[in-house]
Amino acid sequence: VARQRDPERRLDALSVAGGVGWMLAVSGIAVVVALALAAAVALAVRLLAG
Amino acid sequence: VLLRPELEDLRVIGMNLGRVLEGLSLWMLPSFALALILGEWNAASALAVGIGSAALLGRLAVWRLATSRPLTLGLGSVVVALAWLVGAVVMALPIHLSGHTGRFLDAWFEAMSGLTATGLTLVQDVDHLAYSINLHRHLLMLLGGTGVVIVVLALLSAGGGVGALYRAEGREDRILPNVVRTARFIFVVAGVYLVLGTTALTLAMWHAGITGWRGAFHALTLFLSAFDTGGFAPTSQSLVYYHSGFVELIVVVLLIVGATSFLLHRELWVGRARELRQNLEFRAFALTLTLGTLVGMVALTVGGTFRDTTALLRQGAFTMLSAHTGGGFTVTTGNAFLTDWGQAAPFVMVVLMALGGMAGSTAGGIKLIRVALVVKGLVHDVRRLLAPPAALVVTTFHVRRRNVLTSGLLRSAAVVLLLYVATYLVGALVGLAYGRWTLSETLFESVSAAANAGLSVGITAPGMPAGLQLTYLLQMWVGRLEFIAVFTLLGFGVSIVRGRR
Repeated sequence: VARQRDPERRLDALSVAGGVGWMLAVSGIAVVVALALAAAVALAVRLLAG
Repeated sequence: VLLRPELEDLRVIGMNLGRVLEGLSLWMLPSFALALILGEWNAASALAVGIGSAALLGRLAVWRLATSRPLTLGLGSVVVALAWLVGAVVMALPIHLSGHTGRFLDAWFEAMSGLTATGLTLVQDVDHLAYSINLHRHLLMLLGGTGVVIVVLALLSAGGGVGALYRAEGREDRILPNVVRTARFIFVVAGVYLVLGTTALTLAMWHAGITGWRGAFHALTLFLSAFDTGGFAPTSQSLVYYHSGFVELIVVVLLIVGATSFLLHRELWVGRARELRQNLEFRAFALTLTLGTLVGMVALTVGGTFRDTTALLRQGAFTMLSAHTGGGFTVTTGNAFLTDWGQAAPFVMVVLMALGGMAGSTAGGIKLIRVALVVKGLVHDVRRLLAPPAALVVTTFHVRRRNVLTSGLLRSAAVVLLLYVATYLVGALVGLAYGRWTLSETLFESVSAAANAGLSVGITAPGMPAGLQLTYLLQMWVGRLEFIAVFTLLGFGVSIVRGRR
């Protein structure tokens, strides 16, 4: 924990990969949410239109 | 009492401006090298003029105005405000000399659009622009997206007073205690994503049929544009040119990465992933992006623009993300926003552009931390009214650590928010004064310029009125610098005329 809190902590390849991985995960979630919303909106409008 | 600046103050400003210009001359070297490699002699000479002018002016200023007086925050703000204006002029020289712009103002506009990572373009016939000049345009976005001062600091390790320059450029948080190390960290983040993003985009380009080194060039320029939430593209058709879901998907990732604050990147890179869940601004970003995408897609479906899921996702959701992050990429042809998108969806885009991304990222706009703090302040006032008179109501928020919402923080967030809204409205009014466009069109374009977004309904085009062009140019400038540095420059000008000693 103390190492994590060190503001000047040097970065290594593993921690950089972890950070990039988290951003990829966030982007992936955003795309999946957008896909789900698009499908739900398209379906809802189709149902409402009869 | 307004104090008139001393001659030494002007020397400090001039010398530091000179340093920045020297840094800018170095920034044009990769484009110059590419021009020599490809034998683009006209472009090479245009870039040589730009490099020579910046280097000569910079060296002259550093040599003639050398002083040991330290740079204060006030003088640093004047330097930064001037650096972006003068820097854009110098960077405009190669663009203008390439022969792809009409008047010099077009090239200055283009350079300012690049530096501020806006993405509005006035270059004519982009499809036949020299590769090296195209690279120059896109490198401007990396320079401005990460920060002119940041880049100069990382390249040159400028001397005393650099903290003043850093803060004046609209970056309040130091990610690391040392400013130069903060600048280098930002540069490292950009470098890591440059390698990953360009590689992924190159593979996607080859898959889309743009093969060889040409695919790699398109990948590099698109990376520079997407990571810096800029919006320039190497072709006139933006992303439509590629007809590739893979390219669009990678650009989506890069836009989200670019609109995320470098402070949050740092937290993730040192293993503090819980910051994603706790960070007030990131939570606000997730909420506004989800809500904006949903409302935008409902508007597009109800209005009859799109009916199927794929079009809603690839055009509707993508465009909402492009607006919110200030990316400015389009996946629609022509003036579809005007002709096919109705009234509601473009209005949602205006709101998303106006909000912008996270503070301390490459994105523009009001910034979500300010909006979130103002909302928290409103809730705080309601809680205080409902609490017993003797109760002490404290509101906190999490950005890196638990912070108390003070009236000072709230005031500065609200003032900047109001200044953005005022700037959006002034630009819209100037556009209206020309009598050619509707309020919704001029508001769209004005917000796009001041929030450094770059989407357009067609007002920004070669031959547009010079007055409106200058208005958008100034909007991009004040929007990127978040007002304080520009107001300090204005105050400095007033103190020269009206100040006393």
